[in-house]
Amino acid sequence: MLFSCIALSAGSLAIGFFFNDLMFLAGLSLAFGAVWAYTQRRDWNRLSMIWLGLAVFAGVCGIIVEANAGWMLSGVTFSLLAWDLTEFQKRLGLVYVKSDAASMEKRHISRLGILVAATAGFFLLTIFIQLKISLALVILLAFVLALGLAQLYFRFMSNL
Amino acid sequence: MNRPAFLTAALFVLLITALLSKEGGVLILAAPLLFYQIAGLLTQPENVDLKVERSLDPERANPNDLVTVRISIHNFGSDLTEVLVEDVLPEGVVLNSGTPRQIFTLPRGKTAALEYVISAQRGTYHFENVRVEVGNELGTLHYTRFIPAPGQLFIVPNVLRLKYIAIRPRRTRVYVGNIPARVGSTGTEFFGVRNYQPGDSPRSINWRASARHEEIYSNEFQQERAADVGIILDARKLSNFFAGKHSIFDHSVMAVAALAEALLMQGNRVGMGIQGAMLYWTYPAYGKVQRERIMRNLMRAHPEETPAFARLPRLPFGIFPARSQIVLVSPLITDPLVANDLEVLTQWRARGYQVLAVVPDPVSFELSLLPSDPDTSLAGRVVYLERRVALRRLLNAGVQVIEWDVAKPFDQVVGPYLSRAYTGQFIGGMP
Repeated sequence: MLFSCIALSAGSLAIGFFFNDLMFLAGLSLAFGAVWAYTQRRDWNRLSMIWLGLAVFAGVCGIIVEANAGWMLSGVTFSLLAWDLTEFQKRLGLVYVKSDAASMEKRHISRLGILVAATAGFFLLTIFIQLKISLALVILLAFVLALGLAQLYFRFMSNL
Repeated sequence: MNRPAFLTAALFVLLITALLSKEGGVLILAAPLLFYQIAGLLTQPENVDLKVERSLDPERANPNDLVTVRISIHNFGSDLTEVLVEDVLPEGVVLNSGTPRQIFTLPRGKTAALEYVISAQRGTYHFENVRVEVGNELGTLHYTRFIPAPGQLFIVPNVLRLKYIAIRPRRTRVYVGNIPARVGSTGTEFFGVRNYQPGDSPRSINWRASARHEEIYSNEFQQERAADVGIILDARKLSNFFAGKHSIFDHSVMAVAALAEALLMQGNRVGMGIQGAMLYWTYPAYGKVQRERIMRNLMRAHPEETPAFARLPRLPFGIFPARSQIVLVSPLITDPLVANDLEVLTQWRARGYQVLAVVPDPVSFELSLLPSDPDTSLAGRVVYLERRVALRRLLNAGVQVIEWDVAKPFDQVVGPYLSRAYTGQFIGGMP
């Protein structure tokens, strides 16, 4: 599943660039996927964070050069899943009780499924519902949301 | 960098990029990261209340014995989908099987158990905290806590069984023991003949002597009493390390354990002094409790630097009474330029102590660690002869010396010599 996510991430980015006639960037995306897969095979798990960062960077570049936002979003989402699965695989290796491992795996996959569905739903919403609000307002709202999330995070940590 | 911090940083970078580039599309890319963070927060455990217990089986073992460590984690809080439990092993403990690090799913009210097997060398090992990490289902948030779960592991030295140690101190105690007290009374060993005294048993009358003289004589037997024994263990780095960092000290500890055990079993009052960076005393006493005290102190003993106490100790009469038995276990430094061990032993003897020196042979020990070539062998022979001459001076001073090649079992090599009366001969050494 991890390698499928890497392939889907690199493939989505490559297709996005390809449809925009950016052959070099498409090739680079595929090469990026190959390198990521290779490092995963060698268990260089710490690099997955860098690969996710690069995927997000590629997505931003794609949006700026007016590649299809859907493919770019797909690339970023699958790279996020690949990054998450790398860590999850490591944690799963520490589970000795088989039933625990199976239930953890099941729950985790279902959570990721919901995440992908929510992202896809959000993307569809952006296609069908066009809100005329200024970019500055959107960014302001996003900042407020991100700050709120960060505060929530620290609140949860202090409550534990 | 931790995962939530990385995601939050990525999120903010995307927002700033969107602001700078004035591209609304960039904001769409932030959506999966945002949803991921929200999902992580929603699956956060509400209340963490864990209790950890540790058990060691056995708590007391010999070096390299297998010890099973069990850790039970009870969850009194809310359901926990992911609990990482990691035991912090004390330094020097070797993991043999199992793992001290595991992840569990722990519903409310349930208990999980972690089990692994360790071994260790002689010493005391303190287990203190267990690291518990509680995370949400996506693993974005981790709450780490060190929960106290104390435990102690005692690795005591192997105790070899010595049948009997024939010591003859000049002074004995009033209590019954195994040491011939050079005093006539009831006993088993013949001591002498004296005039019959009223109250003597008719069985004790020496009829042959009485027939020769016109008086009645009685046989007298030697009293057997307990004695005071002081064991001195040499823990100076200077005398215990050879061929770089190889120590002969553990052999000395094993010898002391065997000697202390046998002497206490014989009913003697045994005390111990460990000469390391300073003198560590175990005050003389009898019985099993004293055996335990000595084992515990031996467990902690290790070679130490001795800048201020380079010489063997001057024995205090308060702890080791004059004319009692002293057993020294030491490789002995025979070079007078380094330390005056031989002189100290002679002084002990001059103060009236009966001295037995059990000497783990450092020459054969060091030779076994060096490459085998003619030069090394010749050098070993020269050192051996030098030591032999030095140790003979001790013999002449009345110190009983038993040199022991540590490659051979102590109880089999030294045991038979210890069980015989001292003949004034040098025992052991290289062939």
